[in-house]
Amino acid sequence: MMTATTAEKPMGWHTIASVLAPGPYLMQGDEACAEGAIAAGCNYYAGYPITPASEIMEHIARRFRALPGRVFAQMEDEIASIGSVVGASWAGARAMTATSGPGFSLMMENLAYAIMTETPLVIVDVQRAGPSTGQATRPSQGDVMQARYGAGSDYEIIVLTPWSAAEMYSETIRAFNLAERFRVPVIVLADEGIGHLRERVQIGPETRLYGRVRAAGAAPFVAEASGAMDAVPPMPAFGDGERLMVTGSTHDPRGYRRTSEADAQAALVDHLTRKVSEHRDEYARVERLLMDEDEELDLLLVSFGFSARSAYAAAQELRSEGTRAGLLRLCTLWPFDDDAIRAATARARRVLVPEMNRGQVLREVQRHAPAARGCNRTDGEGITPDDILAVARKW
Amino acid sequence: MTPQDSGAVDDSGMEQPAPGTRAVAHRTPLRIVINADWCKGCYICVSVCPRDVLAIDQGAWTGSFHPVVVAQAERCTVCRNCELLCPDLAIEVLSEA
Amino acid sequence: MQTAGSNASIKRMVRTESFPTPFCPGCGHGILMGAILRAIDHLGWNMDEMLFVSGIGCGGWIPSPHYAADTLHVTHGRPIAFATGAKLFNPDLKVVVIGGDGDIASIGGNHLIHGARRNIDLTVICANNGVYGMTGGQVTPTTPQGARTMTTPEGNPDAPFDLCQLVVAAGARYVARQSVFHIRQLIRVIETALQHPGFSFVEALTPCPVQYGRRNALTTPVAMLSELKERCVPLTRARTMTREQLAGKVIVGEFIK
Repeated sequence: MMTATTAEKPMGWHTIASVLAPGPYLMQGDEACAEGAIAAGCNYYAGYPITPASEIMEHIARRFRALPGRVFAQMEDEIASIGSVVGASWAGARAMTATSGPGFSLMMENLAYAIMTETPLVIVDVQRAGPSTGQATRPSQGDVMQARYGAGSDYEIIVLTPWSAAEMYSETIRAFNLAERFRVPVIVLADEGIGHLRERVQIGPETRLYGRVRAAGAAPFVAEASGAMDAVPPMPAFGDGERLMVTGSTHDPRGYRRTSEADAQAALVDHLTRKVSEHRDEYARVERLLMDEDEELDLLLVSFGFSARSAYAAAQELRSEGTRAGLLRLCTLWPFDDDAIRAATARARRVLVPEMNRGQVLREVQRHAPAARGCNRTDGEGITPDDILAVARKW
Repeated sequence: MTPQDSGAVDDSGMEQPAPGTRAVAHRTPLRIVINADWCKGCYICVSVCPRDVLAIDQGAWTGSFHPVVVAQAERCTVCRNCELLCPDLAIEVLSEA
Repeated sequence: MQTAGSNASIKRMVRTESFPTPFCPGCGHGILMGAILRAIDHLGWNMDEMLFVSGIGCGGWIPSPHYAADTLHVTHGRPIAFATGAKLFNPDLKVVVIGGDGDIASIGGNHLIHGARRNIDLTVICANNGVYGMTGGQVTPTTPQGARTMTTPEGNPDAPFDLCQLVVAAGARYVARQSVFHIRQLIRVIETALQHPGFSFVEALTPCPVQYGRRNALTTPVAMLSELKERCVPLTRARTMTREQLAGKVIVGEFIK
């Protein structure tokens, strides 16, 4: 395993040259995700083989050899992978791991630890058909709820859902930036369909990055002043001379354990939620396709990831037949974009949610539009435009 | 201290240096301090002291145990067994060396 | 100028506001807590160069919150994994992992053998008291056969690991066992382990009077230390003893260096 040299760590927003030469590339989705991590300055990667995410790790293993100051480690299991990612992040690294459903489940305890300690990191989950070993080489979108709630207890987390190889590149970069900005784990929730397809990815000349803020002597957790529970505290690194106390137990702003005080627990849970939820404008992202924001629709499709590709084709077909159909594509899946969904569903006669699970996003949409229906494919095959059209036309 | 230097044996059982000489490796403490806030009354220090310096004061009570007291400071040779085996860093044998 | 390794000297290496410690009276982990600091003090190392990574359980509380240094108190069994990430990314950190026998060798067993195999430049100190103390005294993989615990009320039916042999086989470059009764030898092997390049492992036998001793006819801390004194046999002497003579004994010393 290679070791990293001490690199300069710019704080806040800054722009660097793209690592790859600008221009068009034909990339597999997993490969594009790895290149996005490299472009985002990822300098610690630890992982464990699992279909259909292994290609991400293999690509990083090859590429890191030629890039100074970047560390790659294949660990003994997924638990050690994410554990070492947290350790590296606290040593100052921009760190990532990638996995699929069963590995994602194994990572949940240490994911909770990362949330509790406000550790920036990126986890890529390339979903496959489950439960359990399931069909390793087949797509699904079954981890929607697990990505949001799998760590247990109360917090807010950011989950991005790319729908193309190009977004595997750009959304992985966005994941790193959001992780550093909010000191929170960010999940890139892809699926085997997106991970394994090959598409054109256009690389620009520059990449815009956000680096975590550090301040000597500042309390590294929660928020020191009351009323600033939505603020993100600065994050020093081990070896800075700060004598950090990092713990997964409930703690005060300095890191002292407070495992019997109700006010400390209340403050921590409040902070872990509000530091993300009160900055919606910085991470919320939807794409409106074939529709204007204020348009009254006969059929609103709400979808994400691989399913959105088929939903887009179905919406195009319906439009060509004269139906006022549009697609609201969720790019940031969690925190759930209640504002965008409420507004769009209010202007639609019918709402249809295509997804490759039995209705995990549908449940969220139904909070705003109880009459919304799902188009659900759970046989390990990619959902098709015809699947969606069949439901839309029967209604 | 060599056998040739030894003089009379005193009532502590230790050989004392001959008049006009002094023991080579004999150290004395400036002060032995027991931190009553940190001591938990496990009595390991009393047990591992080879010179009966420390004792349990059976006549006193801290609220949870009989406290440890420095009974014979003059017998201490600064071996620091008590310090090394105290789980609470609750005893300090302060010396010049 | 305080004598290196004395309590007056190592007191500056702890967060005094976290004392008195939560350890029980006579806890062997408390003795080990001091021993590690004394070793660092003898070496003249700066606490600002150190990173202490610890797991869950009483052993995990040895450095966190007591040591005035960077401390990382992680999930149960995983300190070696977290430490690996920190060390690989910043090799300038002097990384020490501290955990109990349950944390390091039960739930953490996989990370122990792979850490040793990879020869990551870490020092792992296992505070072995043969019991899960913090959760009330359940059996662990190092509990002596026949011992009574909360989950083996009729006596432990299983044989325990020889942790040092396990770690030697996994590829560690320095492996030693000592007891907190043999405190000067323990401090010396910790000093050697800290300085030794690659994966170093020290198993420290630390009595647990409340959750182990009380249920196994060793009712005081002093009684537990006396029992350790009787049970430990130095490696050099053990090599001349028969299997019958070694029954019930534990071998202390440096197994690989």
